[in-house]
Amino acid sequence: MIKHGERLAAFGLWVALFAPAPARADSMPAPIPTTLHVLYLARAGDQAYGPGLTDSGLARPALPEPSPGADLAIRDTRATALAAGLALALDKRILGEDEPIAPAIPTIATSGAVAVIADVPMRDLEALGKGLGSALAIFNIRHAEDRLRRDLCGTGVFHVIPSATMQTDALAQFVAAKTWRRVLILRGPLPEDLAFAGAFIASAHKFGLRVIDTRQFVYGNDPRKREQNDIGLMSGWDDYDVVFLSDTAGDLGRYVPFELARPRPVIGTEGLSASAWDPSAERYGAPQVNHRFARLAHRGMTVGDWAAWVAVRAVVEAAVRKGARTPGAVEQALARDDLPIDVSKGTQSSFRAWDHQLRQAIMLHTSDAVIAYAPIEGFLHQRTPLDTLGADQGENNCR
Amino acid sequence: MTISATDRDNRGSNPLPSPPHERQSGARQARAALLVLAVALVSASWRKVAAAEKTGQIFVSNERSSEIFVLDSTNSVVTSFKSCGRPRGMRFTPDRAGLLVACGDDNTIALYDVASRKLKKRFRDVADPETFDLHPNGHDLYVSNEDDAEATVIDIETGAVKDHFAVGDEPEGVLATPDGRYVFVASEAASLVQVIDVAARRVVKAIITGPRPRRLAIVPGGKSVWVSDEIAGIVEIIDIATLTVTGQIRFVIPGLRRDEITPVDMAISPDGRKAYVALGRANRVAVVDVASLAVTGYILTGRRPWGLRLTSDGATLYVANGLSDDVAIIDTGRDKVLKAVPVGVIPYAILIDD
Repeated sequence: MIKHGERLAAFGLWVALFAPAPARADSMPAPIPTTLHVLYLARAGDQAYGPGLTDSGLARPALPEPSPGADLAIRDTRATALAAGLALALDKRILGEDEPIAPAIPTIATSGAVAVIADVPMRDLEALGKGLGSALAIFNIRHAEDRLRRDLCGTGVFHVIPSATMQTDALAQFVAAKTWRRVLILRGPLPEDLAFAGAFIASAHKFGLRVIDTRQFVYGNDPRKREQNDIGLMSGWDDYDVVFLSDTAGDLGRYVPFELARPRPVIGTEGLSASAWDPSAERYGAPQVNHRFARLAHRGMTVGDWAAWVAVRAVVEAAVRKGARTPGAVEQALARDDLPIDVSKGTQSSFRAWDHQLRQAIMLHTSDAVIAYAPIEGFLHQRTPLDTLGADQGENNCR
Repeated sequence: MTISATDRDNRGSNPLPSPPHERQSGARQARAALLVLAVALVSASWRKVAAAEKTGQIFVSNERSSEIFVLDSTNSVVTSFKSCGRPRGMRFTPDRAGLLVACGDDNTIALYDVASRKLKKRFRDVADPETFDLHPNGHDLYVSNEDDAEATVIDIETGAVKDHFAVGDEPEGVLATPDGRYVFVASEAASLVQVIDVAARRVVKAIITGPRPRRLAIVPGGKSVWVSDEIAGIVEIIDIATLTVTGQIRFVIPGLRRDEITPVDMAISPDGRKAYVALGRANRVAVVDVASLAVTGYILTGRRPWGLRLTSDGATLYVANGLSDDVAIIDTGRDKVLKAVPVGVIPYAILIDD
């Protein structure tokens, strides 16, 4: 019996090895495809991806660099591109650690690339946007600052990653839908902590929440500063429904949920957080994307990976749906409000005409589960519910 | 065989994998070998069973609870049984004695006996199967492998993997034309419907669709294939003679926005006059006049209707509501819901032995 099985297994192997080669989509008789080049720009020694310590001495794990997201998208879009007579190529260019960006800008403009994925520090992104104007689409896959959406308006910079306001709007919608109306804000001492808390205050105002107080904590054990370094004390003397925590450096956020004087949920940088993407997403085709990414990169898909993936997909959509073949045509196709981009979050995304921000659903998640997708049901808008998140038309100085 | 098992288990978790093409061909060989072995060891007795009496049973696959629910012709749940992991697409064998179920979590297509509901056989190592169709020749199963961007052809008589076709990413809907000439495959993430010429054994056409094409349906008479574009919120009509998109159906529901309309499954009446389209997030099924492509009504069915099936006389429509864990039963004469029957968690597909 065993022998019989072995022989059959051997036969199976023979079938697999010598049966006629399977037909392939790419063996179709077709004209040689036009290759569109996308430039992936990064900087050597980028601090964003280095390991580090927080001010409180806690180890902060190194963030992986997100170029595998772009690699995956090139692979994912191959069949669609081919059907339109196209091939996509990703050219990677790494700026030296101290190399100034200004001399590189003209070479990028004439490199033949139809778009640039800018995985660079903020100063470089601003220089690129101002240097290249709207000649070329530049994808911001990293910076959430609302200020960039205003300052780079009129350039070819497209923000794939949601603005900070989109994230805090998503959180505010969630707590408003729960009628957790009284919010205590705890924030760290960094400018980023202040900015994120400020974004939430604006969101709270927008969605009818009441911020009962904003308190700044400092790291340390000094008993003379206990109103600032003892979370129990800071959260004990009045009542609230929910705590918004803004601890962008991760100094002590991980302890806050269980140091509060009252049993209240924590949102913000701890507890329930708002992100463009999360590897634990279970709906709308996200598991398939996460699985393909894990197979390619052997790790979970980060927000940066996802943004790089979307950037390539956006170029393919511009080329396939609008026939864009040149940098200018790609930029103009993206800038139109009606270019649908499927980002595996259930609704089609597109770039807002007024500030080039990608309108998109936001995942509200814990460390291991996506709890809800914003916009939360019931928040309505005259165009699309997605525009309840972030700066609406006319709310910034663009155009 | 142990080598092949290791090869599979390591996919995605091996820190030092072999290059993708090697892994894939290794897995393919393993798959082919396993299938041949599995089929040889289990006798092909089910094939010899004469065409079974129609039992009137209604099968419902439930992808999250990994159960198959069985309803009888009075629309009551008779029983349910634990199936392979994440059952989705279902088909009967040509003699209707066997129920084939695609199980994504087990990389399996399982065969159950329709009368006894017992597991008869598993076709193993079919990478993440979602849906499939049986070619009119009665033995070639065309399976979409969602994770591998492939369509695989499995001969259910010999168990051999006969072909692989590279398709777009996240292939889902598969449809063989009744004349056996073409097999259509819709790839969700690639916005593509690809057409396999069965005789030539190659993909002869790639049709770009709106975002997220999900399912396929053929109009009786075989002139056109419909494809539902979930994110675009439309159904596109593909003319089989020219393999081009010749029309589309839009859905407008007062009070709902376009992005709340997410069509998935379709069912076309046996006389080819009326079609039903499950609209997902809109919680409704659309009624379409096939000749004019005009939408004539919307039926509220439950949360997130996905899977549809008409009885063979076209008189009753069964609707799997993915997010309310029930099946709505519609009298197609009046296009009214008669009742909704609770089933397992996340019902996916419905199949009727009538």
